Amino acid sequence: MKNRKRRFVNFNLYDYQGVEEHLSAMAAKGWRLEKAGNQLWTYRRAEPAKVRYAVTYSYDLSQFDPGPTEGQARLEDLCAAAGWEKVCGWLQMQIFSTEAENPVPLETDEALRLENIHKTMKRHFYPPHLLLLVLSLFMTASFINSIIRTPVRVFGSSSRLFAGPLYIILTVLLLVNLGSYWLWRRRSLRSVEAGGACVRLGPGCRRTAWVSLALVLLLSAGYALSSLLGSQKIYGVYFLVYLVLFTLLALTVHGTKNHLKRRGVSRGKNMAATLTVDFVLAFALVGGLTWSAMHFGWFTGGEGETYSYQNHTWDADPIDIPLTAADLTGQPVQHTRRHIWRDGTVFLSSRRYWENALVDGELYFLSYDIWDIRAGWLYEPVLRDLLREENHSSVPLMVRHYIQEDAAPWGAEAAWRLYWGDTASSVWLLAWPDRIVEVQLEHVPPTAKEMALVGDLLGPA
Amino acid sequence: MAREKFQTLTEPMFYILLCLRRECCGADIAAQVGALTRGRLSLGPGTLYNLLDSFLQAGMIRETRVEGRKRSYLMTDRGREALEAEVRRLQTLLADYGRCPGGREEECT
Repeated sequence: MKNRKRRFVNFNLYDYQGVEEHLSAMAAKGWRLEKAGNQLWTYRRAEPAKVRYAVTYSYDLSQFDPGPTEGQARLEDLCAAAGWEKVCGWLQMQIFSTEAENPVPLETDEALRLENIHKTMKRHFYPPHLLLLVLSLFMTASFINSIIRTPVRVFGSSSRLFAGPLYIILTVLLLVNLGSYWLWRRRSLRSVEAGGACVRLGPGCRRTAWVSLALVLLLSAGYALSSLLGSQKIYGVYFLVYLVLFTLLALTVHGTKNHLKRRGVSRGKNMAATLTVDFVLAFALVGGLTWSAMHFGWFTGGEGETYSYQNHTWDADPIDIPLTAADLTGQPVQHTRRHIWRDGTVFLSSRRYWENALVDGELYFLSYDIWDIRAGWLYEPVLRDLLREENHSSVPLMVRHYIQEDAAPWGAEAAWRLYWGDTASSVWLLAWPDRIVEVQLEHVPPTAKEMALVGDLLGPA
Repeated sequence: MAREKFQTLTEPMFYILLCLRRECCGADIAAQVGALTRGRLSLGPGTLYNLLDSFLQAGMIRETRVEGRKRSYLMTDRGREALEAEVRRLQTLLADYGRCPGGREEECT
């Protein structure tokens, strides 16, 4: 029989009635709170009993304090004299219990209780919530703007389409949390002014938190599974590796803080050391993963065996790509280096290929993107996005725009050529009913044979 | 800020200061307040702690002795001023009440 159990909780810091009632109910079932982690609470088995729990707030308490502060010791002594035994602390909430029949309530001045809760919330709830809200609003706005202006970037990228809803969920959750507290305080102020108690917090806020958590878990599982089972396995692996490393980072930071607390290190020094560890590890985690992905070519088909020739790196065993320099030139390619980058979602798949080759002693470069539109409603927005005129920041006064050309030589339904101002480039955009291709050729203008070959090899089967 | 906060005293504040005209340990204050008010006012330990803390920060009381876990406090001059100001305010209220003996229909003298 287990003598301890852990439970995930999502109480709001100001929901003291919710905490008190929950703990009394658990004690009646034979489980007494032993330790309250941020979100994970530990209970120990005990005889079922009628235990009254009550909480008070120490707004000046920090999670970096090495042990009970002088103020906490004073509070515990006063409570002990009144028959209340300290159970543990949860954030700035101090939890006490008693089995006395008619104990003096822990708090007997509702106005003071409300003021104390507000001081706690002002110091510990508002700053992180508001900062996070600003960031999440910015990210949400940026995501919505991307959906409208650059749908290819959003619908063609599994990670962007996964992250966007996360920002929206976070924004909604933060707004609900901030709004709930604001409403709760307003109603409580009115109630206390009328001689009553602080009002009870409705279930809406906690329900929103549970629903948000469920949505985040569902989204994450969906993203990981669809990546692992689909053609972009590496994204799923990358995501899972990231999650594992991030969990290790969180545990290390938490462990550092607790270790320093146990050693009696002061609040300031502990905070500085813990934040330094957090910053360095986060930098190493993000930097290390990004470097590894780039260095080992996780998203570009992997780094196979290579060799050097004429100061260039070439593939010993080149990967297959739909259209090659050899196809276009009709000549054997002595040395080549090829890359593939794949991404996509259920709405739009996106592939980029590029090849550097040595053909007849000359360097030959070829690159092309292939977008397969799986959702019919997305075709027009994607085409509009790809054909969008824009001023290129690196080339002042040069407008990047497309001019329509005859599509027949390409075997496509529509074709456009990219221009920089009045200058024609070597890039063409070719459209079929469910596929759009952008190809950059080495030699322009392409011959009729080359155009037909491009259309034949890159167009839909 | 502190002066503004304690311009008028709530009942718990008033009785805590009243008890601390003489040195008293924190745990005994609640019992004394109960006795003084014949059980009309009960002072919870959380409330008592927060008020003692506020009074200490405002310089209205000071810690006089720490014996083991027992801490004693005494009202300071600033605390005495606040208590006396509250008494004067209550006396003014009572005097005003006294000048209006007949209730709503009669005019105050």
